[in-house]
Formats: sequence, structure tokens, C-alpha cells
Amino acid sequence: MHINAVQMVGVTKTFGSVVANKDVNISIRKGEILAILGENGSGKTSLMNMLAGIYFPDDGKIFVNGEEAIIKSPMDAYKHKIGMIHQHFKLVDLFTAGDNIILGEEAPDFDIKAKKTLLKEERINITNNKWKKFLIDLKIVCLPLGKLVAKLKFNWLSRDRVKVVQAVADKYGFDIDLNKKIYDMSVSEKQTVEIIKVLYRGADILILDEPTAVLTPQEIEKLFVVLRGMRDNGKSIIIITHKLNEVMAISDRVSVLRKGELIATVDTKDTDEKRLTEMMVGERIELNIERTTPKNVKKRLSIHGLTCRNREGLYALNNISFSVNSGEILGIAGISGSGQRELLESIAGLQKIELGVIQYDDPKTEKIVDLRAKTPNQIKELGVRLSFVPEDRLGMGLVGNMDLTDNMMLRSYSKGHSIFLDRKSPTELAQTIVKDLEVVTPNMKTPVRRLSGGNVQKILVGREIASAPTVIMAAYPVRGLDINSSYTIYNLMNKQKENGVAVIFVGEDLDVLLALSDRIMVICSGKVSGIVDARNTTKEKLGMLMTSIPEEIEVFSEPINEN
Amino acid sequence: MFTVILTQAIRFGLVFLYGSTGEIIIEKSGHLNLGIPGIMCLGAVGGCIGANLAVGSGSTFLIILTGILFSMLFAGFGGALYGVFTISLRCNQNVTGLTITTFGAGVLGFWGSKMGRLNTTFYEASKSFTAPMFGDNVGSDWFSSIFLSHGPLVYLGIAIAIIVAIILKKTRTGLSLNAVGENPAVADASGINVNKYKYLACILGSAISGIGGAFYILDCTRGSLEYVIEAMGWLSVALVIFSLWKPSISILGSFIFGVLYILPHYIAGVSFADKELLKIIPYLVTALVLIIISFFKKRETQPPSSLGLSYFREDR
Repeated sequence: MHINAVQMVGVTKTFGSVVANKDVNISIRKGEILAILGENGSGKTSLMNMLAGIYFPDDGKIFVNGEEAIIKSPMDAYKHKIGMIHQHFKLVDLFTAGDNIILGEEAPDFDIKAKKTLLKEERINITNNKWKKFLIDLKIVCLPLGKLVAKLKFNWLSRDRVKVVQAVADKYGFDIDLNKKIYDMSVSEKQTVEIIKVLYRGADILILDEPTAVLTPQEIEKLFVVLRGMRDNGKSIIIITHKLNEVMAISDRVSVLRKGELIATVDTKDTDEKRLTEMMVGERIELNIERTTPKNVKKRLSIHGLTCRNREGLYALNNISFSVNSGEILGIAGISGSGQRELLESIAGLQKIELGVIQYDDPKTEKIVDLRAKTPNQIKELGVRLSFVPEDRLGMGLVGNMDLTDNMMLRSYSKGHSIFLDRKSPTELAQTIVKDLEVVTPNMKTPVRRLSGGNVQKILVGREIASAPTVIMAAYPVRGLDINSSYTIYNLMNKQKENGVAVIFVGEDLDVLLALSDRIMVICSGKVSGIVDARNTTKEKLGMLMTSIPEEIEVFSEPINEN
Repeated sequence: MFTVILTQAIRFGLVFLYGSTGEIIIEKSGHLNLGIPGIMCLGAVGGCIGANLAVGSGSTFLIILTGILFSMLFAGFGGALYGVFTISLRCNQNVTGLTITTFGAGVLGFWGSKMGRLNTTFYEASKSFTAPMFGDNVGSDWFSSIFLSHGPLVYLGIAIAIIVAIILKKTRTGLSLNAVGENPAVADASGINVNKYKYLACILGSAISGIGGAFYILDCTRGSLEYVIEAMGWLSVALVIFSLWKPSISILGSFIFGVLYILPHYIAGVSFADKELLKIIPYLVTALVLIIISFFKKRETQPPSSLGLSYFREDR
């Protein structure tokens, strides 16, 4: 029988009406690596955040070393020897690695009462020496002063403060210069600093949230060596991931989550990538979305060899080629952060492109236009509209503090020749959107940040559609929406398709992509791993394509109507 | 002549040193307090009231002690007010700061005119402040008259600046304060009580700046309320930038600012209008420093990263 380092029993967490985790039972043993596998939004991170003290569970219990633990803050987690390394590093750029690690460390306890009783006992034992007795009395009186001195001594940043940290780093074989400033460090070095910080704070249970997402293959190999070393040292490691090959390479056991529920926990050696994929994506659910056959299909956008890098200098997009046609919906599937954002921004002219061609077949002039030579505004004028719904929804596209009309004006203020703004047509447009898309708002003057997420998204999509686009790109337009609002958005997309617009739909839910799209392009770490016919494909196939690139890449293209 | 200029430069520079040391502490916690001129006014009011309370006792020590305590109390109140608005209520820091400046200057003006009507003077109290700390017979060579002929508050100010510099650089308290100003979310996650640090920085920093106001009235102007403190306050804020948020540089910077501030008064044949023009030199020097450090693009010489931003944990 193994001893469980941590056990979560019946843990449930909801955010408003969204259930992030439902009745999850999970356990990690001492000295093992547990992988938590699941798609985006399957509740992996929120489950682990409950262990790290970021969230507090609505229901259920957490046991640490067999005893019930109540973890309300990151400090509580530290007290239970649980440390989490988040995807976004929590480090002060200006400090050295060593200072970041000791930051916020609490002074060791100086218990006056305990020391007092100790000295008193000593005093009782001395019977004949008055002088010694007096000395002990003096010591007792001076104890508060001793506490102060100890505190001041701890507060002082001595030159060899990194020595203790260095000892921890050496113990686990980390090769790092603790006197280096964080802003001079690479991503993988920063991650190492985070890991040392957690170990230095005495964590026995380490949670790593997608640690490999930002690393190069060599760095990943190095990290795995370190993780195995820590496991052999008796630490328990939980690694959150959606990469199957990594699960197979590093973990001892794997727990699969899907839509907030635990599907199964299996020993890694008894399973394989195919079976894990099946568990991860689950059975196909039929959605009641009306899908028409594409009519009047014409080539609208063609992209060849698109390549660009992200801020870290890694390839965000690597030689991407595909085409988008009018009158069809092209779904884009992929693990989040595989390059979806960069792809859409490249087309919209917002991303610096290293290599590649983006051609646009203008339906008005029937000429081929090179989008790379155009400014974002000119691209917008051509009718290529980006309706990007980023993680924070209001970040791009809408201004939270402005009301509906003003947000409509963002698209029209530069038009016209009068020195005064035309407020009439934006107001009318805002009213039409509110009426047609059933936006729930107290009145037209309410700042959009006060509206619920669904309504904000309806406004954003509604405004872009109103400009009669020829290409509409929607990224995660239904993220965080309830079923009804989601269907409103799907219907809007379908209507645009029927009107001959080329729709690019970046989604997370594979069921939706399968039911809504005509073709689905799957991208995997910046590369196209396949373009498939949405009507004749399976969820498992998409899941496999999302996590690995096949040797032979399938490219399905819609029959183009040339009349 | 030369000795007189340097002696006066140190004296007036100390006003800037008090102001900038306080402001550095506040800015290190991520709060740009533009209320420093007003807070120095409040400190001046408190200092005068405190010193006059003890003037009857005739004890120099008591007069200075109550003067300092009251100026810290009054200025600390201004800092606490600023803190409540910008930390707890997360108001715009610039607007709040400017309001505090207007408020403080108004309090000083109102109270000063009332004192004028009552014929209350602070000349008697100021004698304790201007009296040389090391006595009258330290010698009359240039070194003694430049460095050893000042009142006790000059040495106190330098001591405070050195202590603050050491705390910021060499203690965990300073490390945590720096972290709060650089990235409060990280500090929070590391177990630092962000709001506690911000409040303490605002109140303590303001209290230190406040001593500068009291020092200006009771030492530099010998108890006269006719001079304007605000200009000294703005120069203190400029000195913070000049000294790259380091109190150690601030000591030297305050001397340079003091020279630049005092010099026009000692140049013969300069008209009144030209004197006012020459007074802008410290600002020009600050602008020059800003331009020069922008060439180096060194992270260490930049203001605290989250200066001017409110922190709210749930924003993460």
C-alpha cells in the first residue's frame, strides 16, 4: 500500500454557472510523477490551483499526508509543503535569482516562552552558585532583546545569503548563477529559479503548470532529468500537460480530466497515446447546429509558407500554408497557444511576418492583392475583419469604459468630412445590434465592461459583421458563454457563410468545430498537422493531429466553383 | 564668500534631502506622491506649533524634539490621507497627490495668516534650530564653518538618508519594499503584506518629508512664514529623479541642488527677474539627468516598475 502525499476527495469548484471541477478524486503518492492530462478548459489548472491556495473548493476535502488540510492562501500551501510553478512566472525582473528566492521568507521562530522554561529548569538544577543563578536571571530578562537581535540579524542581507540557496540548488543538481538578474535570464532559467524557490521554501509536493510550453526540446529534456532526480529524492511531482509524448516520457501515473470530471487514473506503462487520446476527447456529442453545403465557393485568401517568431525568438508559426474560401467556414483546431493568435494577427496585418505570402482575392475588383504590403487599416477596408476574443475579452476590440455607441464609433470615427463626429449612425447600429442579437443591457449608455461576457461578445461580433466583411475571423467567440448565447454566435457565423463570407473560426470545443465547420485545419506547435473534411472525420483523429504532426499531412480542399 | 555659499548650500540642500528621502521611500512602494510639497507645508505647520509649545521651557532639546514630533505627526497625517485614497480606494495617484499639495499649501497659508494677525512669531523657537550643534567654538577655518556650523537637523537629515539607503540596500525590509514597488503581485504571492508596506511607506516617507518643511521654516528662514515651501517640495521631487531613487546619491544631489538654488542670491549685479530665471537651473539639470540615463537603458536606473499603478489582488 502506497502512502498518499496528497489526496483530493470529491472536490467541486464552480465559477458562476460554469462548473470547473465536478466531484474529482485524485491522489498522488510519495516519490512519483503524476501527469494531469486534459484538453483546454478541462479543469486541470483550476484543480491544481485549489491545492496551491489560489482557489478554494466549493465542496470536497483535501488530505495532505493523510490529514485533512484547509488551504486558503499560497502561504497555507507552503505550510503544507505544496508549491506550484505557474505558467506565468512570479519573479521580480530587477532582482537577482537569489534575492527572488529569499523574497518574503519568514524569520525563523524565536519562542521566548520555550526558552524561558528551558532556562528556568536550568536554574532549578543550580543550587549553590549564586552568581550563575544571577546570570541565568539576566538571560531571562534579556530574552526579548535577544528576539529583537535575532530579528535584525535575519533582516540583514548578508553577502553570503545565496549560500543557503546555492546548497539547495546543488542538492538537486541545478546549474544556475544565483547572482544573475532575472531580466538577463532565458525562460528556462527563470523556470529553474521558480523551481528552486519552491524547493527552498521546503515544498515536498511540486505542481508544474504546463512547464514545457515555453521550452525548447533540449531544455525539456534537461527539465525531465531534474524532475526525475527530484522524484528519486522522494518528492511528489504533479505535471499539468496536454502533450501526450511528454506524459509517456515522464510520468508514472496519469489522471485524465475531461470537462471538469476525472475520467480515469492509469499507470503510464499500461497505456498508450491512442487510448489516452480517446479518454481525453471522449465520445462525440451531436450538436444541433444547422450546417448547409457551401455554395458559390471561391478562393478568398491563400497563404503560403507563413512563418513568424514570438517574443522569445521561437517559431510561433512555421511554414503555414492553406486557403480560405468564400461561403465556407474553416475551423481551426489546436491546443491553445499553438499559433492561432499569431496566424489571425498575421492576416490582419498586426503581426510581424518573417517569411510567407498572404494573398487576397478581392471580390469587388477581382484582382489579387498582397496583404503583406497593406497596413492594418487598409486590410480592414478591404473587408478582412478580425473579431478576436482574447482571454480578457475586452483587451482587443472594445473599450470597456465606453458605452455601446462609442464602441461602434471606434470603427467609423475617421470617416466623413465634417469636423464633428457623426453619432447618429453608430447609435442606430448599436440599437440594431441590441435588438437583433438580443443583447441584455440596462440602456445604451452603460459602459460595456459592466455587461456580461456573452453580451460583450455579441456586441463585438455584431459590430464586425455589420461592416459587411468579406472575411471574418473569430477566435474563441463562445469562450465562457452559456449555451443560448453560443448558439446565437453559431447562427451568426452560419448566416455570414450563406452570405458568401469566408469565415475562419478558431475554437476550443471539438464537438462545435465538427458540427459547424466545413473544413478543419489542425495546427500543432505552429505547424499545420492536417486540413480535414469536417463532415467525414472523427474527434479522435483531431485529437491525434492536435498533439502530434503525422509524417504525411492530409490537405482536404473544398471543390471550388469557378463560374 | 565661497565658504558662505557652500555653507548655505548645505543648509538649503537639506530641505531637498528630507523631501527626497521621504519621497524615495514612498515611490519605492509604487506610489508617486505629488503631494510632497503640501505634506512639507503640513510638516512646517506642525513643526512651528510643536516648537512653540515647548518654547516656554527654554530647553533646546525639548523644543527641537517636540518640533520634529509634531511635524512628523502632521505630515504623517497627510501621508495617511494620501494612502487611504490611493491604496485602499485606488484613486488616481497624481490627482490625489496634487490635491494634497493644494490642501497643505492652503492649510499653511490659512494658519500662517492667522498667526500673523495674532502677532505670533517663531523667531524664538527657531533659535534652538539654528544654534550650531557642535557649539560656537569649533574653529573658524573653512572646514568647520562649512561642515560643523549647522543646527542639529542638518546632521539628522543626513543620518536619516544614510539609514534609509542602508535599509533599502541591505535588509529584507528593503528587498520587500522594492518588490512591492516593482511587482506587487509577485510580492503578494511571496507572502509579503503589500498593503501594510504601502501604508507604512506612505506614512513614514511623508513624516520624513515633513521634517524638511519644519526645517525650512525654523532653520533656513528663521521662523518666518513669508516664504513659499511648495517650490522646495517640487525640487525635492525632482531630486528623487536626479538621484535615481537612491538616497545615497540624494545626499550629494541635495548639495548640488542647494548650490544651484542659493547661487543666484550671491551673484552681484543680477536683477530680481534674472534671479527667478536662474532658479530653474535645478529643473534643467534634472531634465538633463533624465536624458542621460535614458541613453544607458539600464534597468537599475529606471523608476520602480509599478510606480503609479494601483494594486488589486483579484485583478490577476
